[in-house]
Amino acid sequence: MKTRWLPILGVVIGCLPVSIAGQKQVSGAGGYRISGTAVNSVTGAPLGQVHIVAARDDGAAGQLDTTTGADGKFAIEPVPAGSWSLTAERKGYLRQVYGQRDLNIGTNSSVITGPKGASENLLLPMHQPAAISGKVVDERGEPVPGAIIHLLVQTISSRKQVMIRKVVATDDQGDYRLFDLPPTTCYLSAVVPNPMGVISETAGFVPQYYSNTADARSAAPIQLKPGAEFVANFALWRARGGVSVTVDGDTGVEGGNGSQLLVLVTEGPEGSSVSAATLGPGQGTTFSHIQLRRYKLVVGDLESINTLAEWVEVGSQDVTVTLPMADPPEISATVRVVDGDPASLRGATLALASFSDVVNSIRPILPDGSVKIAPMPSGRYEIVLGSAQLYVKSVTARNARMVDGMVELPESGAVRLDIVAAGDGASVSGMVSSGRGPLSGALVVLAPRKQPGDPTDSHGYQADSDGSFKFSNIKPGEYYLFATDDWQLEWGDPAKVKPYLALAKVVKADPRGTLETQIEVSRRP
Amino acid sequence: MIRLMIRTVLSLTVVALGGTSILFAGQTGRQFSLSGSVVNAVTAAPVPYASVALSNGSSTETDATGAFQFSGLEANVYGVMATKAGFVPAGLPGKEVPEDGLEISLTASVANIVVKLIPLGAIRGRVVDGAGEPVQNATVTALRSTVVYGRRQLQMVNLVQTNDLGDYRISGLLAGKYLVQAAGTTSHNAYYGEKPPAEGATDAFAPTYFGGAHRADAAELVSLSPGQEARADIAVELETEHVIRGRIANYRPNTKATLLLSSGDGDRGLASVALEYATGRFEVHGVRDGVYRLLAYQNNGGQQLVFDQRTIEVTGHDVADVVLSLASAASVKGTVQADDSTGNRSPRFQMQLVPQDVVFSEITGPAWSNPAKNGSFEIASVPPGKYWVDFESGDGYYVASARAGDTDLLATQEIAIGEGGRPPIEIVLRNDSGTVRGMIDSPPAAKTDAIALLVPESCSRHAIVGYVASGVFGFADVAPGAYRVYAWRQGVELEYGLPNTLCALAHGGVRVEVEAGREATVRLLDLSEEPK
Repeated sequence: MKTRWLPILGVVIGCLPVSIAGQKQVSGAGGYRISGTAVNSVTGAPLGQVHIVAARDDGAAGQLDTTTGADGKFAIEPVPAGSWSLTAERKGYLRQVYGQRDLNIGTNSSVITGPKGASENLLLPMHQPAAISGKVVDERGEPVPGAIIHLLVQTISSRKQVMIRKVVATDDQGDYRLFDLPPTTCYLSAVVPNPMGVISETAGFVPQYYSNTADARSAAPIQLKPGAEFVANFALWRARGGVSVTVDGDTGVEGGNGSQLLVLVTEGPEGSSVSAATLGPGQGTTFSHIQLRRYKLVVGDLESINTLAEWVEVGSQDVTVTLPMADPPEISATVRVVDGDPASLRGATLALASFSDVVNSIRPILPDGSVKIAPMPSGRYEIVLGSAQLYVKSVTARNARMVDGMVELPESGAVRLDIVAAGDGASVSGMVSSGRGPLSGALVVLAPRKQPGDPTDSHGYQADSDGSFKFSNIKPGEYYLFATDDWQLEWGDPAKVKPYLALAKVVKADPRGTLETQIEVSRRP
Repeated sequence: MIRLMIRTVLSLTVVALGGTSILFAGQTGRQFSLSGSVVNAVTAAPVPYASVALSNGSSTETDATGAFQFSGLEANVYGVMATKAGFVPAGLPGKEVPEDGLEISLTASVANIVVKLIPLGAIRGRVVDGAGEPVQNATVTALRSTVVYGRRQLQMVNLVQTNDLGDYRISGLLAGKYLVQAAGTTSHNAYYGEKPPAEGATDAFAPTYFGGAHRADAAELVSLSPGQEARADIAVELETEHVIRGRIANYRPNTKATLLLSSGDGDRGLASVALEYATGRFEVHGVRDGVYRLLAYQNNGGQQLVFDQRTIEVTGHDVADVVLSLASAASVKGTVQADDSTGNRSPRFQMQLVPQDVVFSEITGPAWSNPAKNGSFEIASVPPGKYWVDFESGDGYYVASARAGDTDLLATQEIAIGEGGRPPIEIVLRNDSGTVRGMIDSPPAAKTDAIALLVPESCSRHAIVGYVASGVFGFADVAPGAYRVYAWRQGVELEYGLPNTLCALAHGGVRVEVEAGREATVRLLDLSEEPK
């Protein structure tokens, strides 16, 4: 099952899924069985009292459920033939789906029931939640209340990216606690906003990244194990120098000034975006003690649905940014459907995504095919069409360059995108096997032959319980097809994909064609 | 720069009061220093690393021993204010000690001044379920029952969420008595797309106060002295969780809308809500069986409130296809007339509607009328419900009569606003008013920080509140008639905004007769006895 996630401004818990998962056919009815064992992921001990829910991947009604016995075993029967997502939930453990290796994102393996299905003796390793707690003090050892702690998690979904997962503030004693965390690689930052309504002349705190660095790029990764209690303390120091960035004027954000939020974003670990400073509602308009860097100023509402952004270059002098943003590159798009039903635009969304971006640009496509996207800072963005029936066939841009299927937004001027979406997509499906038979959970990659690793037309699929895979709705053309047991392969990165191509199968996907093929899993070259 | 807010003047040993900056305008050249320390008002312990600011804009910090020093100051009057997280900065409302801040007339260097900071308290505790297991993401609210303008209100002071250990901590609390309530997960998330982002299971339970009560009036109070940390653990009974799904009709796409699910009795409509931003579809999670009021509102283009509310009964399963249709409520209209011969068509007048409903009082707050030149006024989009009615007039005018259909608003002080037809409100003002001047003889300490109350003997109109300064107080624009006068220390919890309480005050106090165009005087020997 395939899912892609776009990171957004993480004020609440910023994760919006854009599902472009392939649809699965459910055929026939009959008495199949889903069975397996839930265990503690660390000790391997069987886990009773785990609530197991099987839901059909096609969204049809008919959810089935059961609870594991003291031996951790469960069985659901009779189950009609089909493709199922198996969710396991238990108090004291994290909710997870069968085959979900990274709980930060939604990629999992479906459980396939049917004559050739594989739905028995499934293993569900359940993770106990981890927590990170700590104290934030200043250079004198005094607690710092109101420091904002950001938890950034590293995920791999086509490419490695780091995104904000949780945000908490320290209490009056400088203490904070992040909980309900999955096993993950993560980073932490502590930012102290200006005190409410006070622009202080006394020195302010330099944003700090764990452990003990002011440079977000050199933040240290934390390997969080299931059930871990990690302690991360911060000793903040006040800036000696630094300039201030003043924001002047009305932000133009819906909901009025009371709900606005100003965030300065800088480059973080592994090329991610992290907050360098934040101003909440009523906290004035000046970021103090800003270090020399290039920042993205994001203006948003508290629900992080409406965001605007632009670049701010901070040199050796104070900077004033006048709002509304000067001549923001307003982006309008038109999606035209060819070789398909225009009605399939119903419920579809469009987004401009860059790896680890804080600007939320997902917008619904109106029935006439038009979309308005909030102004975004210059840079290179992938065009993501959220639709189960359509793929992006071609894009022409006015006042912007198209590079490798991505749009390069300029510093200013309105941008217009004409997107042709087609409904004549092909499907490529089959089975992955290793020497010992079908391989559940293998990563199957479909890379365009012209440009392997191209972000728009490359696809990844985590093989289902019976080793099957299915790419639906893909752009017709020639592709490399291969499978690997390295589920962390960054298949959206041409350099990482390249070593696999020599062993890959070349397949041709015809418009509306259905191609079925068997592939052997490739060892990591 | 830290802005100073200095309210009252404290006499210091260094100078006599009465000096102003004008006195020193001609004196330049000589420079002085000002030093002292910041101490905890309760423990008298020094407060290290507190910010100390002067009204001229300069600021410094106390050292590890709580000491600070300014130098190079010219002769002038300086306000001194200290601030530190976890303390009440002097001069903020809600202060518990009379020192609002210091004002110092500097004609020579001054040392050893003492600036006091009042430490704030905290309430912490753990929320557990019937099995003693921690309840995470519960919403814990500290509330205070206070009397504001003569009417009791349950005011939310702060709210936090429990962590995975069920622990919470509410800090920054002034001394006083608090209600502490645990309720289910509160969140309001917006999303785009088919399905809201999956959330973990939320525990559903009835809002429960510290002490185990489900109603605010039966809740056990948590007493907090200055700087104290009190503990309040709360046990709740978990119930099965259901989901309410639906959509908002007439929704303005991509714009903030708020949904509240309230079960009454001080329940402020906390819920776990997910709203689809493009279409207005919504899901409310963590709902247990019961009868609720589901309310949605949005500001339409202007700042006008459009809303809808619906009673929803949840019995054993999810509720689907709830449709809320946002619309403005009807407005309340009226006229104001001056019953005199001056020809003054628009004397200063305002009518205020204060929602008695907890949810609306938080959403809209009080609504004010704004009369036009011809004396007509309108309060737009007033949701149905009961409202307190208050009036404000001036320039010698008082409200002689206020009627809505058959209701005498002066006597009832409240109005029930229905869904549909609303009788126009008719106000008559008169200017044959008098004034009252009063004083309190003794003891001197009671003369500041007191309020005076003028209660009509007929108890058929609102009482008038005055503030006592240096033992003196006054009332203007008073309707002719007999009154009773009281004075209490500020902070006395007296519900003189309720007709029953008001009538109980119509016989005590000190009597005064007000006549048109005259100033009546009244003398109180001491502060009045505080009502039980």
